[in-house]
Amino acid sequence: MTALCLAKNDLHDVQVGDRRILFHVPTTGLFELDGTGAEIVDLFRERGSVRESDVRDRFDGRRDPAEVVAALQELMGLGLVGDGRPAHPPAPVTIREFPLSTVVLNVNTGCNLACSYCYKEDLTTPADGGRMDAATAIRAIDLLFAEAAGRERVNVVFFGGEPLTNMPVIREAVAYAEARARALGKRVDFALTTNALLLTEELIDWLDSHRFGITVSIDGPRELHDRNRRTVGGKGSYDAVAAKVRLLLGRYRSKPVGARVTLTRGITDVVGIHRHLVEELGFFEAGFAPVTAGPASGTALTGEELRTVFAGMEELGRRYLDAAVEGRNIGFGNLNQLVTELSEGTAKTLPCGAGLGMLAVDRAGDLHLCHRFTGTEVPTFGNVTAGWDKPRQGAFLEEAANRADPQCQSCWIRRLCAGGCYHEAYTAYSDTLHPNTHYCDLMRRWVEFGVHVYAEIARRNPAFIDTHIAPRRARG
Amino acid sequence: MRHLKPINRKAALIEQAVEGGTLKEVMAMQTVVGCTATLDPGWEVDPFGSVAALCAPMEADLYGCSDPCWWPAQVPDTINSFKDWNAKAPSAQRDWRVLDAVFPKE
Amino acid sequence: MKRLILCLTAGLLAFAGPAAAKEYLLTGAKPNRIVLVDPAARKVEKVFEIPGKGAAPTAIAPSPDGKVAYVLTNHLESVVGISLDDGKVVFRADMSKPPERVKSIFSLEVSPDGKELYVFQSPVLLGLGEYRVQDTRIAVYDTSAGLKARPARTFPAPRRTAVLVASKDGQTLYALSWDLYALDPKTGAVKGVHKILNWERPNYAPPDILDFWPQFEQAAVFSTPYFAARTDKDPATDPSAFRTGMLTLDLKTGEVEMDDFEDTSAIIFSSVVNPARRNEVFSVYTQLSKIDRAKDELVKRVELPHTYYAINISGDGKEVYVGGTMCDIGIHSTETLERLGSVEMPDCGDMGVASLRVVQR
Repeated sequence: MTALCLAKNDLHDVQVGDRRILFHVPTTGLFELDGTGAEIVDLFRERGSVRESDVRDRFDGRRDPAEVVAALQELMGLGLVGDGRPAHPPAPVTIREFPLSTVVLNVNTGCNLACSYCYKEDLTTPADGGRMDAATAIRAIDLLFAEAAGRERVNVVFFGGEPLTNMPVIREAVAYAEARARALGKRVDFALTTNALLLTEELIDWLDSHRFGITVSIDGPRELHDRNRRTVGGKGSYDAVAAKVRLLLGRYRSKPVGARVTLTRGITDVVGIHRHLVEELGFFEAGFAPVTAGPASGTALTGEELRTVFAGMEELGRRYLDAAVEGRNIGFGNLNQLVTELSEGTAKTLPCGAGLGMLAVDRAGDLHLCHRFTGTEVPTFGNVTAGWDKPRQGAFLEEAANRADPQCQSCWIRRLCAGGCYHEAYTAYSDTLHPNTHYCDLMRRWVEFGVHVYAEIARRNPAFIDTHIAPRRARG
Repeated sequence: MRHLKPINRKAALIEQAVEGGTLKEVMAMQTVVGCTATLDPGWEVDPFGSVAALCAPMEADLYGCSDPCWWPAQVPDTINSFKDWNAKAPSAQRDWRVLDAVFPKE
Repeated sequence: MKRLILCLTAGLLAFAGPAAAKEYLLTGAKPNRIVLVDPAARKVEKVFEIPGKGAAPTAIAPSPDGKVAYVLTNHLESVVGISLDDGKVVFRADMSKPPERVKSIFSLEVSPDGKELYVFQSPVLLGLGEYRVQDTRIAVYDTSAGLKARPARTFPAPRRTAVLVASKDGQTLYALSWDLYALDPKTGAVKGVHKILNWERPNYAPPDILDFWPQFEQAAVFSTPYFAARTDKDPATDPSAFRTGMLTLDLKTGEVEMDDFEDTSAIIFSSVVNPARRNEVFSVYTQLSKIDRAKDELVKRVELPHTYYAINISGDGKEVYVGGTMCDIGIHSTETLERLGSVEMPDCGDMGVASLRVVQR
């Protein structure tokens, strides 16, 4: 037997209670290693290169040789143990087909708030805002259906600024999209993210009747929310927002309503914010995003604060796990998302759907990677009238998928992170394709935590996965 | 797999792939009734180990075996990928010269 | 004049009756045709183009009244019913519906009352970056469903079904898969299974059957050769280590027999039972064989001019017809097995795996 060694970059093992969980990096397959398997992995980690004599020394008299060989063969079958010769470099990823599932329409760059941390470069007041006209929205919807290929379901998302400041275009777009969908035998779903201030009973009922997925941007209890989410005049918006939220949550039936929290300088109490939004106000779930801000912005979380945030996410995560074991979902959006990906075994070469199923449209009809890029100078990918530049889009996606940053190549979460958000990278490094290395350690720690949570739920209450997680899986 | 137990959906799929699927779905023929295994690089061998008992002449077998995709590795597949491969050659023994190799589309 | 007209009318009436139903052979040929052959006259009677795309016709099932030929076409994704009177398309079922692609692996059958068409379907879901093989099923169509036929019902069917055969009374639909299943054609319920691959014959390995040829209509007996290795004999030295046998399924009684008749010495693809002498079975490949299934022995074997796949037989049991593969149907005496004649397909188009059926019309 020649010397064997571990494909170190392709596995990560995590001790979860008394179980050794093996994370198969290329596929996001999760396995429970038995005692023999765990000892073999330990031996490889200790010795680096393992020969037959090493195996005998370790296992003779302690474990059945046939079992040791079988376990070794299983690890070899997964490509985790081999003769150490460098694997053939994988063929470059080619991306030729990327049918659309979603268009995000920036219906107004104007907003009735002036949140300090807003990343929108083109933000202005609603009156001065650049509104998308109905014709552009309709052309964008035509593009969506034309490029949806075999997809049976498509999505139209409304964004801004504050999308509710341009209801006429939204209403017309919805009517048009529904008619086209009926004619084509497809299903169209709608969504929007809003600050909630412009909601009325009539509007809520209209959104409900078209089954909109609604996300409300709200940062927590008044004291935290009002630090950054203020009107143009500088007043805190919490009281008005909370009133609208109560109105919304009291009436809305068609879909669960989520809250989106921006964590920023001084806003780091994940557990407290979650309690306020989910338990006190009644949102179905709350999702947290550390602010996207350049280091000089004054709103970016300090290193210390980032650690506090992730510690808070883990604390909330432990409560999530306890509740899940009892069959309850406490609505922690980030962890729902991570557990979904781990339960499915999502393995990606691209960080998100930008350009790969999703496009954002600005009021000129230009096509952007995603809604965060509208208003930036980042090059676009065509126009709803002139057409989607698919060769350029494909080239961008291939470039992104074939990044081979050495830090990423050896990272065990590379098939879940895949470099991270393009907009984060653009903000931090002025380069959409720069991997988000400022988050690496925290992300690895977060995913490892997710593996703990998933493995525990899968053993102690697998029904939770069936009921609360499986329905969230993306359709193919 | 005995030492690695799948605990998520992807791992379960991998286990299936590594173990080569369930026994019921793939059964080797016992006596090799005159036909090649579809992954063999070569041509056919009859059950007696030679070529004498294969279809005679070979053209008798060409379309009867290639059109139903019996030899997916050896001839173009007219079921899905190269649907018109033999459209201009309806008689194998007369028209075989018209048949051409196929090349990947760019 | 009136007398002449009356005579003529009487004469015409005498020719017009169904009592004058004749036997024809029905098969398919490349590029994409069905062919009706008058075997007595040794000539092609009618040729009809199968509309649309297709590499070659494969499975063919005639309606019981001999008026319609149902053919699997469009690269195994569609079934068309073609009138044998005038070639018009009277039925069409396109089975694929994106994202599902459906192929039928050569098995279709018409119910004895002509009202239902059974088609075995093997579906796959074409995803964005993957294929997902779906469970196999049988789709049942009303034969009157016209040109955009959708199934009246579907039910699960065992994978690797390659022949569907209706019992004489229409109450059972047999599916030849690894084992032989008896299904209820209304519900798909499995009424019985005759084990083939999973047989428990002592000292025998599982038998091989390779059969996609529906050739049972004349004697109302489905038959197919099988090959089995004996596990108690040494294949290197003992010719009886491999045995050839015949499986027969009586479509009236449901009785199945599976008996060896020789040490494997020739390959046999398909077989047909003689309706006039029901212990005679004829089988074909590069030789034509006559087998006695009561005595379980080979009676006679002759070389054929080339390999054929399919075989059928006249109602009076006097002639067998060998077809498939290339472009001729050979006609042989059932008594002596010598060649009596042949019929060539139009333009010498190959028959390949097209079924060879007998219709009365």
